[in-house]
Amino acid sequence: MLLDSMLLIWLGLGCAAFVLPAQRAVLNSCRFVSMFAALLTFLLAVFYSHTSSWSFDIKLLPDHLFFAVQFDALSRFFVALLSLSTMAVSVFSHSYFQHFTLKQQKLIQTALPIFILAMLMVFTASNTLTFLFAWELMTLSSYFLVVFHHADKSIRRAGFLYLGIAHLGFLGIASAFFLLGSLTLTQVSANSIFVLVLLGFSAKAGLFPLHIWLPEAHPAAPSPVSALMSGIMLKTAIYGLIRFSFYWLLAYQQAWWGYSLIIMGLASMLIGVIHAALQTDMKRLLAYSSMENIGFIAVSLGFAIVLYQYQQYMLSNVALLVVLLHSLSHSVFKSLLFLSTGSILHATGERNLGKLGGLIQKMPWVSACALIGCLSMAGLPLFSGFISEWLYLRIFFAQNATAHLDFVMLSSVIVAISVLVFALAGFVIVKYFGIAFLGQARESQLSHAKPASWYERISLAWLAVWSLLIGLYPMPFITTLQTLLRGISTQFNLPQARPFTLAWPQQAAYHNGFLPLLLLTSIFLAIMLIFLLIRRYAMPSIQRNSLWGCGFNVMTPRMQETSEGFSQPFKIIFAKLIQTKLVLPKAEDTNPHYSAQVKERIWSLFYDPLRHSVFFIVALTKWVQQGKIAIYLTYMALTLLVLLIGVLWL
Amino acid sequence: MTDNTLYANILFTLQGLMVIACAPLLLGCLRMLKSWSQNRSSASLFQPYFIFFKLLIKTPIVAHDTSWLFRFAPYFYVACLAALAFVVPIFLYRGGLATYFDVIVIVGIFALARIIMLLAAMDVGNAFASLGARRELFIACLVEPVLLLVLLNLGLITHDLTLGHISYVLIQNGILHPGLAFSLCAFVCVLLAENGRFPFDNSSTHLELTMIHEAMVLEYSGRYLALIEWGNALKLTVFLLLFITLFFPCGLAVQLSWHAVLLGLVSTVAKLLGLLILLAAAESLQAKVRLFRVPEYLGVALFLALLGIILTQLTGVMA
Repeated sequence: MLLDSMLLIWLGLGCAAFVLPAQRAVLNSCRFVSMFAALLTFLLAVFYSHTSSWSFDIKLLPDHLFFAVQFDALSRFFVALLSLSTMAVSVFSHSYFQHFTLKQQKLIQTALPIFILAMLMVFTASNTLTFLFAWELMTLSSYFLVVFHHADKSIRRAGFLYLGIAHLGFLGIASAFFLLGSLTLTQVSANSIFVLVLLGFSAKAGLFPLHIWLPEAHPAAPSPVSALMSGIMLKTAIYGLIRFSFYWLLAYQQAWWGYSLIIMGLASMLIGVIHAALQTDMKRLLAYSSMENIGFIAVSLGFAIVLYQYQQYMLSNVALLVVLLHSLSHSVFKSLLFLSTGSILHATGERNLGKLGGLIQKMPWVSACALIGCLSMAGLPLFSGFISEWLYLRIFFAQNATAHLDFVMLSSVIVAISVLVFALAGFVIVKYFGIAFLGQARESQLSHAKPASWYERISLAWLAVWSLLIGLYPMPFITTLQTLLRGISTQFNLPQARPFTLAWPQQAAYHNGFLPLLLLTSIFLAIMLIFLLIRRYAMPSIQRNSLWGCGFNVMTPRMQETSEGFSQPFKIIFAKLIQTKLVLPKAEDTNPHYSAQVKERIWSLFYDPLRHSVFFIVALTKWVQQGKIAIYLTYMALTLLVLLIGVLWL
Repeated sequence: MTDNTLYANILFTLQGLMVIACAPLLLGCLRMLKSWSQNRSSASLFQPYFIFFKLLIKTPIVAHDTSWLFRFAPYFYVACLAALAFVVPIFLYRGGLATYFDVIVIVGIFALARIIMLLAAMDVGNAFASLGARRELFIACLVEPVLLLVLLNLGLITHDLTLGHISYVLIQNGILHPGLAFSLCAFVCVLLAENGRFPFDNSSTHLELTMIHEAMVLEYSGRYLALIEWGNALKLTVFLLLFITLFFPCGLAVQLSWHAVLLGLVSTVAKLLGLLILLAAAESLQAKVRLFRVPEYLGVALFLALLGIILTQLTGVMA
């Protein structure tokens, strides 16, 4: 019953904010209660280990329709992932939304708990009705949060795009469930179910080519909402894909399912990271980086399926481990980064990287936490992203070359692309952190930036601690996930590893592995030793002076590297993969200015022709709509006549 | 190999300390060879040490508005590379920490050290330092995949990803695998690019528009610069030792006996000297390429590394 009451609490929160008058006290107490609700969700996910299911009838519905929820190991993992970010977001939003108008706050306090409730229901749904209802609820509530600043036309467009693609996806998922429930499954129907599922969930996950809503919708929403959308909502698609391919359709699984996931994932990774490197808006940058990470998760899932089909169960198990582990670490560090962006936005009112700078002086807490998030995102050792990348790279290495040579060959190419993407992710974080937090303030109003409030600091620190914990001591997480995976198939039986070592299974002879704590200790010891030695011999003091001005006497902050300039080399070498619109000044211009706009190729190659063809068809058929009532009455009479003839004739 | 683990551990520690201590010597040696090959008279072999102590006793000048990151980064940089010094071998076939840090982690540590330095360069807020950072990052993004692919290929050939095991198998079997040839070429590119050598970068230039790595550390002075210089020397040494371990490990001691260790030391020193002579010759004969030609070189390196892996998979892996 615990889960039911959890759902009811979130529902109640949303309804309360909707019904009660929009007063500051009411909204504040709503936010306080949501903090406790988040804490309860977290405790439930961590400590409630019974796998059980409940169902509850709603009398208004017909008899065979009822809501049912369950709480098995997979649901529990995803609920835990949800609760981690939700806790941070609910604490963060306590201070973040204070400066919004009361009406806006009321909208957010209504939609946000409903959004969380919907995601909770998606993760725990045990029948079709619950899943689809929750899925639609999730889309709608997040739509209202996306178009929150609806006075802006571009935001309304972004919201519309999001709604459109989400419903395309819904169509796919709903028909997949219909096929799953109504047929006796055969291989053909299982295949068609998978195609529909892939369509549906890739629309939600933002996988290539249905990713176009992602970089539009994430920046439009307020930062805590983007944190939830990117951290958790994208994972609902991963959850759905795992449920379909490894739980319900495992007996019918095919290798080409995995191949299609790998192809889509690789394309998303590459396009995501290149565009992330070229963005100047912080939230767009993070949105593209989410696309890259989701692509990585999809590739791993594809590997899990392919390797399962090739009977390499140990590797398939590790690939699934990568899927879950990276989902966890991505949700933590991406929420962290979106919330840090929110803090910057709150303090400076500026979202454009090129107008920030020097925030490490003004906001030391935020910058320290954001640094941890950035280093995790770059997949560097000691931080959370590295663990999944380590396991992922070792999968390639351990493949059995004699059995499936074609796949092994293919995976060499895949590994080359993946490591290129991992390296470019490093570029993205240096750009994000280096331009926003480091250097000198590029605009004068940044000197008024005030440090983040304690609520914001606590929520950022909470996520940063988890990010470090996964990076430094990953074994408990891996062990927990392994018990989960053992429930999927009896073939998944990795041996238990030693507690502090991230080790590769089946290599008893050479006890190798990776000890993050050992690395931390050795680096720490080395720093201490060097510091002491230097102290012993060097002058202790430092002298502060102005910058070296390259021979100029005056260096202004405006002379620093801009975010456009920083990614210029990549704009040149990846020119084939992107579309740039340059506006160059002419010699006779009195007020010359230069602008460059980077767009995705897919718009001009696919979506724009699609839109034009739709408009073309509409233009052809629009004479049907004459706008006179007489004409429409004629249509009705004609239709009736045709139908009557049809009935008589048949 | 032996039961005498204490003895082995002492040797491992000694080996790591030796890498750290001798790194500037290697740089001095390279500069000496380069001077000779360019028909100049050379500074002392120990010049890098003299410069180090000179920098150490000077008061560092730090720009206004720099944060803790700027002052902390050099320590972190050297500490990361010092940890790597305990992974690569000089006389024994593996370093002390080699079992715990496999090649993926080695690449990761290089990346971590580099990114911290890049962030420190951005911290200054000097147009010039960030220019250097962006160029360095641009090259690094293309180098890192190549390095990882080369190391993965070696791992595929020898069935394990730790450096110790790779060199052990290579020594025992004396493998000359066709896939190795491609990896070797790719690794040479990586070694040159990663250490700021010709044709990618000129480590001794003082022309602003051509600098990459040196521009990045332009604002550093005093003890911080001393540390960075030591770190750069250490990086070059670690890369050269990696080169030896991966491609020419014969001669390294696999048993703990005096003459084996001595032989290992002598052979490594000889190989290092040979490499330095080649490096000096290459640096004297080549011109630096334009920045936007660099991706072409590194693209070729990436394809060579990939070809190496594909060839290894095609021809099958030996024991």
